[in-house]
Amino acid sequence: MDEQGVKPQKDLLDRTWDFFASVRVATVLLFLLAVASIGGTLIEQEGMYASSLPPEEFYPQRYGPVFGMLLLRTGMTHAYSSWWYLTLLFMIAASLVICSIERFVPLWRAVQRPNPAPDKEFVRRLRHGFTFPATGDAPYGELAAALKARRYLVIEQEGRLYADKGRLGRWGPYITHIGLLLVLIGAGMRALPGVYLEQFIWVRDGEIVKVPGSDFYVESLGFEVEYYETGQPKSYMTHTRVIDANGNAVKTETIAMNEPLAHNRVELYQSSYYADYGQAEIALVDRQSGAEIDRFTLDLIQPDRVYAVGGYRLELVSYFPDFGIDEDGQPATRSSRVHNPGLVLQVTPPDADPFTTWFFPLYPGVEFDDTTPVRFVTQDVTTVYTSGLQVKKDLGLPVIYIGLLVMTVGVFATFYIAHRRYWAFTEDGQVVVGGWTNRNQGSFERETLQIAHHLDPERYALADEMEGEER
Amino acid sequence: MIQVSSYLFLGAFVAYLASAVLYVTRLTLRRRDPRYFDLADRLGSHGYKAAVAGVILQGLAIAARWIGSGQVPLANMFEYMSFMGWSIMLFFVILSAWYKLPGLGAFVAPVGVVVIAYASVFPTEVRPLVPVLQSVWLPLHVSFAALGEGAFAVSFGAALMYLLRVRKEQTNQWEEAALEFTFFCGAILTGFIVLALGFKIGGYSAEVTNLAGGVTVLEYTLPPFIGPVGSVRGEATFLGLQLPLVHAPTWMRGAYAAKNLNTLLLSTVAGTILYGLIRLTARVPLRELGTRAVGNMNPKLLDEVSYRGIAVGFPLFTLGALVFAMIWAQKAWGRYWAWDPKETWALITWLFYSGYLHMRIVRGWEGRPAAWVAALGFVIVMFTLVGVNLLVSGMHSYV
Repeated sequence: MDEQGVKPQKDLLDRTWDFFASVRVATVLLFLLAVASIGGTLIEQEGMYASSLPPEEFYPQRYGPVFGMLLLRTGMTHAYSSWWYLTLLFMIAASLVICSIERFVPLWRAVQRPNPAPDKEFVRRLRHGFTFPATGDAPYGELAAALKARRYLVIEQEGRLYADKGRLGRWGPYITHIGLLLVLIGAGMRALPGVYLEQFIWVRDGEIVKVPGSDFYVESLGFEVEYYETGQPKSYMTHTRVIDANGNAVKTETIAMNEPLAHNRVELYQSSYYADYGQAEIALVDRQSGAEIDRFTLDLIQPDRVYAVGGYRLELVSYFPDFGIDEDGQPATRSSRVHNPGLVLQVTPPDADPFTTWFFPLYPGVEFDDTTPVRFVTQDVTTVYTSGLQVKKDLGLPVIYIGLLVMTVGVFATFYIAHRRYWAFTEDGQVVVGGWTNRNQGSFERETLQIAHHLDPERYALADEMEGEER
Repeated sequence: MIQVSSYLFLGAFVAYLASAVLYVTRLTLRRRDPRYFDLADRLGSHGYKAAVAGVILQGLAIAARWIGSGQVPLANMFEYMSFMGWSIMLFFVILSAWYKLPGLGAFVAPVGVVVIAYASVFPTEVRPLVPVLQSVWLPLHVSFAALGEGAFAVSFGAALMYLLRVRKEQTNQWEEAALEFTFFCGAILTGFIVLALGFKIGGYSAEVTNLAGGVTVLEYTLPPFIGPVGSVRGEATFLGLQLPLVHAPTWMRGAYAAKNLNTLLLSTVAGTILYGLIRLTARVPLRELGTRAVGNMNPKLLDEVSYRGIAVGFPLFTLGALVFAMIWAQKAWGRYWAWDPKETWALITWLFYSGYLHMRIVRGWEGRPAAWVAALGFVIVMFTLVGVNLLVSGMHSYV
């Protein structure tokens, strides 16, 4: 008796499906994701903040104990990989897939299998339309010609005419959604083993370094910085040679900013550098006469134990690449980098007793003992660069690129291609034409008027275009 | 060539200003008396011609700067903002030709003028490109993003007009307040530009000691009423006043936080004065003035123009701000996405406009709610361009 009451019971799966198939839900999800993205730009994210403290200590200190803990608990400190952000992303992906499946078949029917003979009343009531006198055996002949000239696809069937163009425009949203899904898949592929690699290597000029995660080596043929006249850096580059596992040179290439080196799906990016003092040309000078006895080359990165210079024997007692004084007042090196080299040398002259002396190649004038018979004068110091290269492998990248391409085609198709269609039938010696478009009504109205004018110039004058304001 | 470019730029600015004035005069005249309709419409058509002339002149200015400097003129805030102003006026010219809606000019041309004036606040000299910017992706990424944003600006103008138009039929107190606040923000922005340009032309500059964020001396181009932490009263003077009067709260750690706070305060004061003056002269709220200006324009058409702006701009923005940006980031840094604040805000903008586009096909959400979203969308665009640089630091530090 009460048939409306016997609604088919929908199970959970159906209801979930309906939920994600709703454009209303999709809209809300988009706004939610937009809002959810804000927090991470205002709160310094883990791994990005300039502090060596672990997150559990950093956040309470930076944002206060209560708020800091709240940030940590909610995952706001790693907002874009937090459970709530990923959940939203998954929901959007589900919505993308389900909305597309839900609407695919109806759209396919409407766009690719149009009905050329719909109800006459439907055609008559379309927003854009006109009529013209039907003449002869082929009443649609001139109309079909005019439409074909405008690149319409014309179908004449059952005494009716149907014409349309710009079908791709209707598929645009789908194409966009497929592109977006590909981008999400490409980004998600990182989670699979072997797909993604991120490493960093330092390569000193002339050094050969194994590229992590790959089977080849990279040799630096020299790092180079170029400057503008203003002193601002113009380019950073590392001249490199790729060497395979068997020791064969594969290719020689320059890595520069915006110009990474790619080999076997691994890419090397110019990302950092530092300069060290390399080799110092030192003259041994007789203190009294000032005459140069001889010269030698001192490798500041890896000095030799013993040097023989003009009959003198120099033995390296201690080497401090970055000389300083430690807390106990003892000489020490502050780092392993050659910033301020200091040497302790035992000098054995050819005809006298050995003595020990300090020498600072960058500051040869600084002497702890100026009574020694010889002194050292630095003639020249070369610079050795160490280039920092980012090593990346991301097999998801091609998927991302294809996704971006597909998405771009999709959005342009959606908004720059309008689907325009006409239906026509004959009645009482008149051809009745009705037109429909999914976007850009104004331009379609003008086109319709132009066609009408072409077919019946007396009835349809090319009037002024639509006016936005009333007088 | 650079000199030629700046003359052309000035010419374009004058043309835009003339266009804005003509359009506003046109609306005022039309409202006064039907007898002035013909005169008003002539003014409107001159306004359109002035806008077209401005677009051509600025196009030449950009070309001249490109030739003169030998590099794409899209690498600093001045170049970017003026390009965006150009794209606003370009889309206005195009959409006006499509829709024959001269009333739009009174709302969009001033937005273009404000953006161009804002561009002039930044240093205009040509700087050589840092290594990361030397890429073909620079012009592609920046120009497409700016073109999209220009179209969004036109959409903002039309959405605002739509909201002003339909409040005669239906409204609520929240929308009324929000509309009035929009005008107030416009006044603050105008106040900022007047102050910044005035003091720039006057050549004002003051240096104050700074203890925050690793910059020891902070250079102010506006009088430093609020100094940084560590500044001492009397370090600067303005009209005999010993400045700074106070210093910024210590929890503001950014190197430029105090300067930005000072700018915000002064702009708000100037904007409030400006707003108050207009309010007192007109004796009605500014939104009422706006509604009168919009008159009886067809709301459906305004809504359509607002939608078209976004429909035209969205693909351009997608390509420029996301697709090209990702490809470039991959080429330059080896990562297409790093959740850098600027990058994330571009995504937020994109998601927001995507939401708008979906709203349009949901029954019940397409009218006023969508128009509010279209208007707010452009606020997000401006925040992405300006606010992100002021609030947070990231890789995207050049512009």
